[in-house]
Amino acid sequence: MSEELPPDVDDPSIPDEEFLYRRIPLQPADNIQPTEVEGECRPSSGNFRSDGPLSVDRSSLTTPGQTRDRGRPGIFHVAQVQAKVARQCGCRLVKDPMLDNPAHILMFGNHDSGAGALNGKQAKVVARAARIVLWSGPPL
Amino acid sequence: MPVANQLHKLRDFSDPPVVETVLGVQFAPLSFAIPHFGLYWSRIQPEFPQYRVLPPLGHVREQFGAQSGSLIRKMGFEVVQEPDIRCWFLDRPGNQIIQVQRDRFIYNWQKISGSEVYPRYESVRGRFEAEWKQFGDFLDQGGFGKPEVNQCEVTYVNHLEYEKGWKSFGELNKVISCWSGKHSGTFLPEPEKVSMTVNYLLPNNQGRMYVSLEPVIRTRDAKEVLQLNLTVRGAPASSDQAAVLQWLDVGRQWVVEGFTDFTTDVMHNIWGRSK
Amino acid sequence: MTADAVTIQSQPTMRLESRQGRQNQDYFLRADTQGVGVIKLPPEWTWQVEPIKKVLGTLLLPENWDSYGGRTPKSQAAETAIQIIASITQADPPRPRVVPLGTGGIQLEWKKGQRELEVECRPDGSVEVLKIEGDAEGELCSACLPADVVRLVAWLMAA
Repeated sequence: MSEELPPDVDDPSIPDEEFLYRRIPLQPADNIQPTEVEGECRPSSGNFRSDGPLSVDRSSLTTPGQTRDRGRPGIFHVAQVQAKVARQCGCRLVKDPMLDNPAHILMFGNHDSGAGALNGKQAKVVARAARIVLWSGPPL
Repeated sequence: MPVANQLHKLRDFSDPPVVETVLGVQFAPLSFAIPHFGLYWSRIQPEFPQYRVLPPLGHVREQFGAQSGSLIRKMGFEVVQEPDIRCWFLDRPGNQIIQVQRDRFIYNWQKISGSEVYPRYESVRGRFEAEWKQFGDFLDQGGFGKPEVNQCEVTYVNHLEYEKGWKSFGELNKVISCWSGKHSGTFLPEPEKVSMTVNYLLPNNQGRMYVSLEPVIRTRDAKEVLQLNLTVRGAPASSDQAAVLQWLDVGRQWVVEGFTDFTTDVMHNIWGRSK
Repeated sequence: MTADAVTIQSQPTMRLESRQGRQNQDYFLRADTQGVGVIKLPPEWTWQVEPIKKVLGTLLLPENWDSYGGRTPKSQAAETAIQIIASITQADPPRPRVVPLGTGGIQLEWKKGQRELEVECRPDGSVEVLKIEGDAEGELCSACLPADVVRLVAWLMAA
């Protein structure tokens, strides 16, 4: 994340249909849970809680594998969620490209602290819609 | 017999399951207020830079004779001008703790990572002796006078890990020598859990030993273990440093010999018993 | 050596602490001289052990465990989470999921049928609860007490 945060103003040039990637740690196992569809998993809302705005990557500028590998040496799954889901629950999406990650975006939320984090409701909405698209663990 | 010789004659284990040794004294309550904790801490802070504040321990005295077996414990209902607290002062790695309250001084050595080598009683005793003396000097210089020690206490905390010589409570007889695991009939299944408390009287009313066994979860690694605690408590002959140390040596002898008697030869081999 | 007394202990040694008129039981061993941290296991605990071990396991996560600067959960968050788990007296409730948060908190999650509870135990030990039914956005309750969570678990179990 860049040292200074960009302004908390939604960037409409990020299309609603864009998928946003986020690394999900393999451990603890409760980080992910199955959905109603067999073989499909989604992350817990806890993976979208942070002290400030949430870091995600734009799918148009990177791949799930590249997102995963930016987390090395740890082992991570990668989850994706559409930009419109974040916007529908009141989040703002702001480009924040970095030298080693031009796909980087910050998702600003409405947490009471005013620091730009997602609140509990927003994290839940995003988590419900998110799906694991790159699985790094042993087969289910 | 000189103390040093007594220490050498006790049973010895190369890899005992002990995770903590506690040596402590209790004395008549002092008019020790909150600022005095800070003043004392300033003397030991270079070596004990961390602190925690906890609720105080009750004032405990072993009773014998007509009230044998009962333990009188005042829970501090007296009206005090200031809140009653207990302070922990910890060294940087957290292995050593000095616990202070108005009527107690306690020195702990505990494993933090689990990989530390147990420092042996002689070393722990030496540290207690030095810290207790320093505390006594602080009290003397602060006008509190000499503490009137009425109880001494030695505790060894042991963690018996599952899968090291035993797997379940159905195999507790492999660990505890006085537990047969047998029933008079065939109706009952293997026990799900066992907790046990056994008290022993020291001769000549020197004190009492409490042995407790219960399943716990160890917080440092979230592991379920069986905690076996041996606590010996009683009154020293006087408040003098020598009398306190002599009582602690007796208490420690009871803990070590008691631990050995209470556990099985099978476990002794696992723990590397050498004598 | 003969035993002075033998008791088979059915009640653990725990210190009861009054807080706001309610009884709070301190399962973190603070009532005697021991320094080594343990959670005593009352005889009646069965399902509670695994989630409590998971809570303690989160304390072992390193800083930046999530690769986004996530902080190791704080011991106060863990104490609150354990207090909540220990306070649930319903027989055989759904098992909570235990999720560490990058904020240094710990989240307990329950689901039964269409009802869900997400209990955020914050680094300072405070609690916020998200109560959800069906596809609704949910209701946030800040500054909840463990007793409030217990009532909400009863609501969840009635699903």
